[in-house]
Amino acid sequence: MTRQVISTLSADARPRLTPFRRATHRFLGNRAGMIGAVLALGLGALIFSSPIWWPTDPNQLSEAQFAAPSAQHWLGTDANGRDVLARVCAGARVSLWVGFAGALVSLGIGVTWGAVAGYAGGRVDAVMMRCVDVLYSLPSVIFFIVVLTALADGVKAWASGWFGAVGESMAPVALLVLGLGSISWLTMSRIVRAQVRSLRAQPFVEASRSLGAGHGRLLIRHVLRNTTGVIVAYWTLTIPTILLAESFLSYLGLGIQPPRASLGSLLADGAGQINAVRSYAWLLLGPGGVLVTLLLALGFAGDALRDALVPQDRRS
Amino acid sequence: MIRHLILRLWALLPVLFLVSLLAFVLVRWAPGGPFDRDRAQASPELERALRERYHLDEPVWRQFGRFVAGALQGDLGPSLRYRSHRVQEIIIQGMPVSAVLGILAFLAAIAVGLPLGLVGAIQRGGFWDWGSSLVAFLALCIPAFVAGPLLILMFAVRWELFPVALWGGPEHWVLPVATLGIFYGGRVARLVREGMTDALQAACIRTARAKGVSEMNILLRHALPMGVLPLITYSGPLLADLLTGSFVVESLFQLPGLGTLTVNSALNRDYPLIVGLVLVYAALLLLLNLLADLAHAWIDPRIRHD
Repeated sequence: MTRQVISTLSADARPRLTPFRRATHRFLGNRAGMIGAVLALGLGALIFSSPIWWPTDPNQLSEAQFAAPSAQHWLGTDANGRDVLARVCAGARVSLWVGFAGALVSLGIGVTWGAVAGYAGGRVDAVMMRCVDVLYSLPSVIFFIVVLTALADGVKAWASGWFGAVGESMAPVALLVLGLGSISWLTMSRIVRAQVRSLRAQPFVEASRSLGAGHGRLLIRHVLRNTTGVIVAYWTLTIPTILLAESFLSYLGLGIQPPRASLGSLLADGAGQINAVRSYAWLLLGPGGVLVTLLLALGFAGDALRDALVPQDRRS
Repeated sequence: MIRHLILRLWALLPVLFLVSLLAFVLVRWAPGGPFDRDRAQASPELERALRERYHLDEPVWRQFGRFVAGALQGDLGPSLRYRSHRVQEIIIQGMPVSAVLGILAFLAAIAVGLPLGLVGAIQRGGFWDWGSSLVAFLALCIPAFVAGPLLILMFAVRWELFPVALWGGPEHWVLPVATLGIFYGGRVARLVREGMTDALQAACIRTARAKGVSEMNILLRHALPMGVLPLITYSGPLLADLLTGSFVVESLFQLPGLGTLTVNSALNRDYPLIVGLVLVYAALLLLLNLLADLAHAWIDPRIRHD
């Protein structure tokens, strides 16, 4: 009994630990989260370093069509004799970039929208959040297609104008980043708004206001800074969402355009080769396995990060 | 209660109005037109005549007024792609396939997800919790466009257990329902586990244990109604998604449903059809959310309004 009291006391009497240190401890103690994080980082490192350890050109055509996995082609070859492993790595690289950068775009829009709505309150808040409700009730597929085609020409002109030929070849990727980012901010804005609303009413914000702090200082220094944990946690969870949306669009043929590959377009290629005569399972298992593993790892890591940074939302 | 219901239904109308206005403006803002993809590229005169015929030359606000006037009388206008059909006819034709597929997938998701989540909550922290959580999480990470082709490859092509495609008897249902249901099953399992974990820690459960109610009774009569509340809240958007069809599943199995219609209408810039489909989706979503709220209030008397 005594020992228990002492240990509780000592657990409480740890003022030296900053919130950040405490969150780090919680994250490191979460086994599933650690496995996810290690898996995500390891897989990411493998994917980004693939030109070093697997120097085959992903677009190199060859005579060996539909070769089964072998020592020469670990994941076999596709309809044009291209090496599937090289294509999967190149595709996963594109998918990860889009997921990461798209999540940043959605972070920017969502945080700004939610913070302004929550901070302004009243009618502004009501109108802004009603907009979010209306956008929520649009079917996302239609939203994707319309926004992507509407932005397409502008992004292409902008990219080739600023970055020349390189920009033009990267335009579809930039388009996906902007398009997916400008669609997936709705949940983030709701979360940020709720946080800002509750923080705004706190005595320390009021104290600062009574000392004459302006709106910008109050919002950024006092309110938003205190929501960093929540924002980071939900941002991490946005990455797999956008990764999935990108794969879906590329599967439909609307995302990454050939000859460049993405996990989604590789899966579409594989699904297109299903026939009764011969089956080429490696065309599906390679990109599918990488996609599922990436989503799994990022999801585990994101969940653990949320549990660590937002303990009040803790699920387990 | 009836009054409350009528008020809630009434409040849906402005949202539906805004949603259709937004869809109406958005699709016209996107470049390209409904006649770009016609088999024979229309000559300028013909296209002008077509635009005039379908009032596309009028200002957008007047077109929208025309649409609202029609919609209030149950007519969503002509499809610009399938020009001999009205939008509502096309939607009603595609609805049954998507609805049957969606309801079956929903039932399958509940049938798999509910026990999985329950096991996790009861054995919390134990081996079964760990296993069921992993299965649920894995299911959440397998999108339909990964599961579908693999299921076809294994069960239809390799082992020839089920037909590869098309929509006929029950044997045609298995693979599409499985493809669609995997993800949602994982979702249901997680929601149930979360809800039941909270419910089992409630004070009333402790009281029930203290007065000697059997574990089975505690679980099924006291904790389960509370534990499924998050699932009921989520059922609204879930069912709306499922009932309006999935493009991936419908195109993989070549089913004539609303999912393929949605993607194709957006690609073809078939303005009236897009707006009609958006309206159907939004109306379903709002109504099902309302139903979920009512079910919530029915199960949990604490949040009843009057």
